[in-house]
Amino acid sequence: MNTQKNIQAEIEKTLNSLNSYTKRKAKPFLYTRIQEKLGKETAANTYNWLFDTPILKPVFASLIILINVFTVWQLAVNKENQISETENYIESFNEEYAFNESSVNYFDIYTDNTTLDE
Amino acid sequence: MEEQLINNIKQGSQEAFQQLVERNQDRVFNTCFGFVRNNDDADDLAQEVFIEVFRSIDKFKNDSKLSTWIYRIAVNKSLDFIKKQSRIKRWGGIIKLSTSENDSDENWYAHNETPEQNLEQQERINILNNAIDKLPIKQKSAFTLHKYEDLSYKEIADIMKTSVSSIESLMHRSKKNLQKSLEKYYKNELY
Repeated sequence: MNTQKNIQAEIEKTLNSLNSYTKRKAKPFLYTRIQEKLGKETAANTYNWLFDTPILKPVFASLIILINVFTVWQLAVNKENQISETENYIESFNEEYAFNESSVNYFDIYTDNTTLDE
Repeated sequence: MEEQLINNIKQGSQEAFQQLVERNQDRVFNTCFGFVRNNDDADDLAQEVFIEVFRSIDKFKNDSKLSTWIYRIAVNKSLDFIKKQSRIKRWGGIIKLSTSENDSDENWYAHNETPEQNLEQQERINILNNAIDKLPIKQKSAFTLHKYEDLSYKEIADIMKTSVSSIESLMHRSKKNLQKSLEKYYKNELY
């Protein structure tokens, strides 16, 4: 019985604890902080007609894809040209220094023990 | 006078907006604090409330008082914040809903005669706040507005867009629920 009474007394006290609450006051310079936040958000939300116009978005996406495809194609073509150019160089190098079958292999001359014509 | 202020804000007057902020900042801050019980969070919320007021002023119809409309925004923002916080908490964030232990600055309670009394009072407020947090949203809103902002049932009814009798019923149920919750607490803690 006493226990229940004590509990009730505690509950009453706790429920009344907010009666002595002192209202809080806002921190100083609230307006300045609001202005700063508003300014930041406005700057972040500034409309960029080039990137924010809905119709231009797919156009930009297609353009970027096209540029990528063109670059890949250009790279492939350049590679082919480069290979054929390298082959040409090798060929002309062979011709220049007579590295073909008809030319004399001076090195063999010495290894075969063949003598040079006098 | 109030109508003039609203019209000026609608026309983009910064002075009028500043006037509105300065007139309402304490009640907005205190309302938000009543829900979140943390100075920094209440300050952030107060800023968000006024930004929302600034943006939505065109939607404000003169069917209620400006302060009622601002209170409504403050309550909604605070409840959204609590919902977000509890979602983060559920996912393991180290977020505190009841932060009164970190907010032991001097305004929290009225000064008593001795430090022991102050401490006891603080402890009781913490226990009560924990019980308030367990209330359903509508009961919590009505109770918080009544206890922290000292608003009448009529004012709370206007803010919550309901009738005075509904608020009376909400307050009755909230007190009953708090009693139950506190009884359970004291039975476990004391005996």
